[in-house]
Amino acid sequence: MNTISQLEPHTTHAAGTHLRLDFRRDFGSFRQQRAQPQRMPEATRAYQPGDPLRALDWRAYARTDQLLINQQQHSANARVIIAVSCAPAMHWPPADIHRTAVLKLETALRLALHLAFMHSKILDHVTLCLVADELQVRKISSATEVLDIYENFCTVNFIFAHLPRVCTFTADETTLLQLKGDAKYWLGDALHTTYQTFLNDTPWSCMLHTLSTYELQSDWLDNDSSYFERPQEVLGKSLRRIFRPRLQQWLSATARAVEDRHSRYLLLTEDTAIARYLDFLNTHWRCGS
Amino acid sequence: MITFSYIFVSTLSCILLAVTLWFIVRKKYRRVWFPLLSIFAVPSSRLPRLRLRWPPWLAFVCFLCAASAALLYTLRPHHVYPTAETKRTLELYLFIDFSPSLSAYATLAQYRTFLHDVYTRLRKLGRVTVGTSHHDSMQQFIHPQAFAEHLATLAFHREGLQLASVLRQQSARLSEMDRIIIVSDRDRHTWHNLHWQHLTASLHHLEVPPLRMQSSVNLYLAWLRVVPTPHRATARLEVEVAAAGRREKPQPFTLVVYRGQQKITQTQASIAAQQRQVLLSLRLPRHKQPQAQHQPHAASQWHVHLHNEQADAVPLDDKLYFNLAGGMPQVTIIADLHGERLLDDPLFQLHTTFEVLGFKIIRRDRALSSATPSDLWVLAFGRNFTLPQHCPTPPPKTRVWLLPQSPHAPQSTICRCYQLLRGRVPADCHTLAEVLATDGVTQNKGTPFAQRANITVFRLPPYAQPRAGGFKYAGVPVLIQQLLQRQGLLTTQRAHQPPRPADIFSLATASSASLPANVPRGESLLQKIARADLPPAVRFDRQAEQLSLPRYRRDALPWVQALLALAISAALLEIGGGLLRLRRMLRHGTRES
Repeated sequence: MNTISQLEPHTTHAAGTHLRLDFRRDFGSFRQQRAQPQRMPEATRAYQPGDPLRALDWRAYARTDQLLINQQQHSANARVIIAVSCAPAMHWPPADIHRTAVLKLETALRLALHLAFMHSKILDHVTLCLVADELQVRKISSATEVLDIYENFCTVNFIFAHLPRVCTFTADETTLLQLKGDAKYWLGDALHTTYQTFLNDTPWSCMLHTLSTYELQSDWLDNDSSYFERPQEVLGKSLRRIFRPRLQQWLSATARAVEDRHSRYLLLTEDTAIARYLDFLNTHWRCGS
Repeated sequence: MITFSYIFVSTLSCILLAVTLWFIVRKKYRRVWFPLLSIFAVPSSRLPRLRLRWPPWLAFVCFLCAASAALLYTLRPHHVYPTAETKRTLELYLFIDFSPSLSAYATLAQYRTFLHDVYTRLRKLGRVTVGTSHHDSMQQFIHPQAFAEHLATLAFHREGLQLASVLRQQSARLSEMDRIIIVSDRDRHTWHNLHWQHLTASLHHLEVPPLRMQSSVNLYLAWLRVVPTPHRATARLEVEVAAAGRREKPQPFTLVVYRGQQKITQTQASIAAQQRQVLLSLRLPRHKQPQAQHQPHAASQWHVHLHNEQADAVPLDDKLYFNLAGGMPQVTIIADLHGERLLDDPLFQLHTTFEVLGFKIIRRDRALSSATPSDLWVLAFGRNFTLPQHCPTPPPKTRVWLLPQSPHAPQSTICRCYQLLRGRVPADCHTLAEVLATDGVTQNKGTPFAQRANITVFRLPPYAQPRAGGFKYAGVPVLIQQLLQRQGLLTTQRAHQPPRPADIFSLATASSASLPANVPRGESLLQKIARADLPPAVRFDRQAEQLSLPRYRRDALPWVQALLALAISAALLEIGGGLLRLRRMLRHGTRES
């Protein structure tokens, strides 16, 4: 089974699923509100609750007793902003937990480049933002450019300190919040609340909660080791007792906070199947369309 | 009640702490960074940093042995043995201070009573030898009454006292004493330079308590100078009156000058509250001015008495004896005049020298009557010098200098004048040296003059000495001054100062003074030394513990040997353990290898 740790920008299918860009687009993924009746077969679809009754193809209904809609909405370029959290906590797990463990940052960057590639493919205006102490902003002009960036990242094994600077310009965090976009993606571990402001009031936004597998399970915790994050330090056996309920509580709260902002939420780790991720994208884009 | 020394308690604390540390090991955890903890609400609990474990037995046993040895050492274990000195008589030396500063604390009668009481108490402890600050002798008394009679003959002396000098002079005899008890006050002058901490003898101090109404102010005569005046029959005194101690208001006083019992003059003055000293000038009237007295006696003894209207701490320093030297000395110079210009006069250097030295100078070109009062006659012979005109007859009774005006002056005239002054018939003589030799006069080596009776003959003028000898004109006043002082015609400034011996013991060995002693300034300053800087004080309620001979002897040698054996065995055990471990390593190698 292919997992996120093997995801590449041009991956479009996986076992049991396929990334289906099944909505019609003329130019970009932004769908115009104004719809025009169209009798062409490709503009016909099944009726869904909420569709205007005047768009029903009454003749087809008379022939087939099926409620069909003949309507075509023209699409346009969308402004897509993909923000990746590069905070120090994203450089986890360290080598003393597992020597070959995949960093959260690598998972997030693979996902971000995949999204950027997909949106570039359908001619959207993609802006890639790496959020650290300073904000690195890169405007993607083509899908080929995304592949180049991916190659560079692979060369340094997705270690942020060694990453080549990908930015078109640098700015501070407030600039990120001022960027206007029709679609926004946030990829990070949600340990900081910047994502809530970032996703606010954007109708087509998505939060890909990127965690490590080691953060979702407590088997690796050693009873006699101490685990710290300032200002507290806890012994392993004490942490084991409270780990699962506190984790579930936090994940639920994070998902609820995202959904309250009318955004989509998906929890991902490096071991999540690519198929699940692609299914989520299909659903997400279909809902967005 | 058992009391422990500080060093024992601190050693015990350290050992207990060290033993605890042997069992405690610092727990070191593997620390892993886990960012999720920042959003987990974890109940606060401290991680245990230490844990207990059994120490390595060999090293721990060695440590315990060494620690036990150190602990027992600080406990100072010892055996107690009776000493042979228990039956011996305790030898006590009681030194009594009669210096002027003591008079600030007690009258003579009170002091005698106090000393008698001290002596009676000390007699119960052992044999008491008594010494006083009056003289160097030591005495033992059969009965306390004899001591009281001896005390009755003693009074406060006017000389100062320095205990360091006393102990230095009596050190040979003090070595026989078991305890030395000094009865004194805390006067800084008395205890100056006494480093009693380095003495092997057991020194104790018995401080005289204030027995009389004590005054915190002491007015005393600090300094006196006789200023020479041109008039032989008058003298001027400069007297400095100083005050010691804290004063709130001005202190009036009267200064009276006595000669023997006769009051000569007096003056009144006062010293302000913030003033430390005041300088007064007194002029003695002409008709009461006596002739210079080189050997004064009691009836003609000069002294200044300070009458203080308020209470005074030390009464002895209110009287200051002094010598009233004569007025300005007079010299008569008989010499030819060579002109009015000063540089033409060969005697200009000599004339100036006498002026600088304070002489009144009478210069003539021919001899006056020998009855003319003069302390010194200077006959300077020139080419025109003739015997009847220039050599005074009959010979004056005071001192006469015969000198040539120039190195080329004829010595025959000097020779005949010398013979005339010696009461002989002047005869022809060619060389002065021959005449002097026949008269038994020999020239001292290196000196340019010869002296016989009160006649001093210069072979060369003193102002024209050869430069080969390193003589300079600037040295003329020094040469003349030394010669005048040697002949008693000029007294040094120090000779005018009243004698103020700082230590009566050093005075006994020095030359006898012509005047009664005065109180040294150190005794009048009322400066006290701190009790911490004094030897241990004698307290009569604990005198048996302090002064008595030790009845028992403490010997820690057996314990020291046992502790040493314990420490050596611990060291051997440790070395043996180390050797065994080394042997095992050499035979089997290390675990890794």
